[in-house]
Amino acid sequence: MNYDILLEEADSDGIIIKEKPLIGNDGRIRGDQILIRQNMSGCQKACVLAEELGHYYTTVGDILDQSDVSNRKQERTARLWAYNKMITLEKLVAAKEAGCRNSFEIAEHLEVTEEFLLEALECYRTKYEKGLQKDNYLIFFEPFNIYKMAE
Amino acid sequence: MDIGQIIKKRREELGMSQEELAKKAGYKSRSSINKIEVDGRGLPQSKITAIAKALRTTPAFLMGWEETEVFALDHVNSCFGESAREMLSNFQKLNESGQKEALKRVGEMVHIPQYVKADPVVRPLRPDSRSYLQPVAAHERTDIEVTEEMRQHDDAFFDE
Repeated sequence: MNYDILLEEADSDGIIIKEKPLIGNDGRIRGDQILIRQNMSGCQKACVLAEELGHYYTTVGDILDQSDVSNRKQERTARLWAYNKMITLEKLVAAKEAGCRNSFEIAEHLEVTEEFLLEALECYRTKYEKGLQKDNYLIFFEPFNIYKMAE
Repeated sequence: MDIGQIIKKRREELGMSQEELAKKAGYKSRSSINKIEVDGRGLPQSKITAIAKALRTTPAFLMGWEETEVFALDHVNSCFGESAREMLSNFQKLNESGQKEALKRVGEMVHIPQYVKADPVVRPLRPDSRSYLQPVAAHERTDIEVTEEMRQHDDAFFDE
């Protein structure tokens, strides 16, 4: 899922995305307008945009004040949306299939930043605990590793 | 229905709480109203008037002497206006064939454009009146300390 595909999807939903020389933010959303900071790598932009789109589809109201618990919940929901958009268990397995050996390589394969991948994995860890079996693969989250089961 | 049930029903129709009614009828606490509603106990004659007033009806109605029809007409009045009330009370006076004829005539009138209301104007809420629902969120940088000026600087791009 790269930046251009996300841009196209967002555009077809009538979302206005502007790349601007932001100083304090990587991304910002207000209504149907999303701002993305210039001078970031493509995969950084993709991750930020995915999160802002997560807000577009799941957030209601102004949640800038993150000291409010319900706002933090909405923030989490938006991030989960982004993780599910950019990274899925299927894609993790596909990355393993493609020969990726560690989180850095998987992040590169999925065109996301490693930080984003690790955050997503942390989310999966809270959801699936230690790990799970996905088809012929065992995915463990602490520590993160994917094993192919013997045929 | 005994008096307690009638009071309860009327109170609920008005969306009033026992507390409110107690206060309006000059009782000290909710429990007296509750007692009255449960079995009609502890309701002196003098209080019936006060309660009837608080419930915007008549003592006779509370006693169950008056038919609920009067009441239904009041309700119609509040929902559809004075003419609906008048029409309905006239309708009540008609015999069966009269009622049939009345229904037929009114039904026919609906098909005559001259008598029909224009299509209701659908007025969507202006988008800005719903602005409180719009998502507003920030993905702030974590690699630097973000100041208020920086936020204002960034927010300015929305209005370009």
